[in-house]
Amino acid sequence: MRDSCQAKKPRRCSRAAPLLVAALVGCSTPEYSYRDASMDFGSIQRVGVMPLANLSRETSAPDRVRDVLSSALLATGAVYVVPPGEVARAISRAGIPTPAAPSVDEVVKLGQALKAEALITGVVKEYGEVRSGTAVSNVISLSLQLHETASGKVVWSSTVTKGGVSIADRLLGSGGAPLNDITEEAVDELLDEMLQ
Amino acid sequence: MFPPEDLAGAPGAAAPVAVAIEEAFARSGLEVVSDVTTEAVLARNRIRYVGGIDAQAAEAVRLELGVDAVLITTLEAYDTTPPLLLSVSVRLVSVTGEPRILWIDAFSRSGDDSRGLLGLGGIDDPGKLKRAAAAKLARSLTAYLRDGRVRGARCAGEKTFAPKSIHRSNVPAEGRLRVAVLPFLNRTKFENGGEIVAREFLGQLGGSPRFEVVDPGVVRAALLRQRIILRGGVSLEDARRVLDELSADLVLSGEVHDLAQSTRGGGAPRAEFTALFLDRGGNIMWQSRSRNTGSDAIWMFDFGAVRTAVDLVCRMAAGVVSDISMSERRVKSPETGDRADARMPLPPLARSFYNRSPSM
Repeated sequence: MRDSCQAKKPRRCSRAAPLLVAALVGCSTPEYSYRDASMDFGSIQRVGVMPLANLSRETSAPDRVRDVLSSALLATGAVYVVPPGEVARAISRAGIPTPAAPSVDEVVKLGQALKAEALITGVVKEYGEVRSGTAVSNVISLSLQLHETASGKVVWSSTVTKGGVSIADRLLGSGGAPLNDITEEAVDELLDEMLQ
Repeated sequence: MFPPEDLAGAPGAAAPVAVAIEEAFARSGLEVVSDVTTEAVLARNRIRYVGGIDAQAAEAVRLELGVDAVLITTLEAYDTTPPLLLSVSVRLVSVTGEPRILWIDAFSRSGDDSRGLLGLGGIDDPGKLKRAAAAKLARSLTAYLRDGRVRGARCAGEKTFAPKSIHRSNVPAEGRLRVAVLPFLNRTKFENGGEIVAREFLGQLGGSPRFEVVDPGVVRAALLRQRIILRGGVSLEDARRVLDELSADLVLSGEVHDLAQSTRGGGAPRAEFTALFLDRGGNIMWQSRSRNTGSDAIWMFDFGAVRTAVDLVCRMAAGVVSDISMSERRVKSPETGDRADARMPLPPLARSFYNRSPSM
């Protein structure tokens, strides 16, 4: 059995004194990350991005985030991303009832159908406006998992939260960064972590 | 001239626009077959789709009307509440043999486009806007017929409207590529958002010497013949079948995530879409994501503002087409050697993917 490691990333905001500042300024929530130490990530050349689960109120959030993710992943040049239409066809042919959360068998089946070494699944936990008093800003909270299709195992997983009400939003009422910008930021951070 | 296709969702608006265009064409000296005669032929041959023409319909129209080409008009946006809005495209399609796009041009303008000092340059009369559209399109068509060059409704491929992220792979450095433009998946509140973006790509690709575009009527007929329904995007098998049927080199599809018109005193128009070119081998030759607002190119006061969503999409599509047409840049990767690369630099962390060390 392969060794695995589980690591909790260092908190962006340390505990005691800056806690008050953090409450005022807004900061990334603690992020959890998992990486299978024995996995050869270099062997992954072809990846399928599954439809993401949506826990936010915005119905279009999973499609938008998935689109940003696929484009960003392809643009790195590191891996080839199977076109979304091909993924939809494979899901339909395999008769997978919940594509956002496939079982191990389903991951293996999809991997064979798509000829992909890995699949990415994920959950959009928050997407849209967040209010704190009179201040308004945008926030995204996203978690992704990378499944190896040979075994169906999760080999990498991470979560990120970007945006939120900052001190500038409170003082100037700027409304925060555009949702697209923070989505790209969140996706870039996750990809940097996945590709490291 | 075919009856107009209405993508604007403005009942009763398309016909008067088409009449204004037809009159302007007639004034320019073109011999246009009247609307009534054309509609009779379409009814007799049970031709219901007027957004394009397939080979069978082209043959029927050619024989019965004795014409060389048909004009296909598409109303893409129309609003008579201030600020006025009119976006219309017209293309000339040859009906001799397989339908072939000979000329394509568009007009997209808001009444606020050049309001200027004391609002004197503004247009508040919908009739004036229609006449301006008709005159511009008639001038363009006359110029095409005079010098015979292929013309397209090309927008300037400005850097501001270039795609935000790009993947390119094996883009042929030279040679003309035949492209089938499929409808984009529409994830916007605009009923015809996907069609509108596809039409703008049609105009941009049609105007580029690198590409030959298959008429949407021919593509639609091929999809119907092959019984292809694009659920969730184009699959590789669908792409292969379309490419075989149409003898095309590339299929263009994508997703539209945002398309919003400007409002007076409110926000600028917005658009966000992904464009995906698949080649015969089922590979993604190009994928890019574009996102812009009409205020992105403002450099002082309101100079440089784009006021209609269709104009914005036109510029963004032009950015994509101009980037594809650019000569390939090649970079060395540690393992795979030369490869066509994205415009985005390869992040240092991604390089580890190429270093396939057994110890990893």
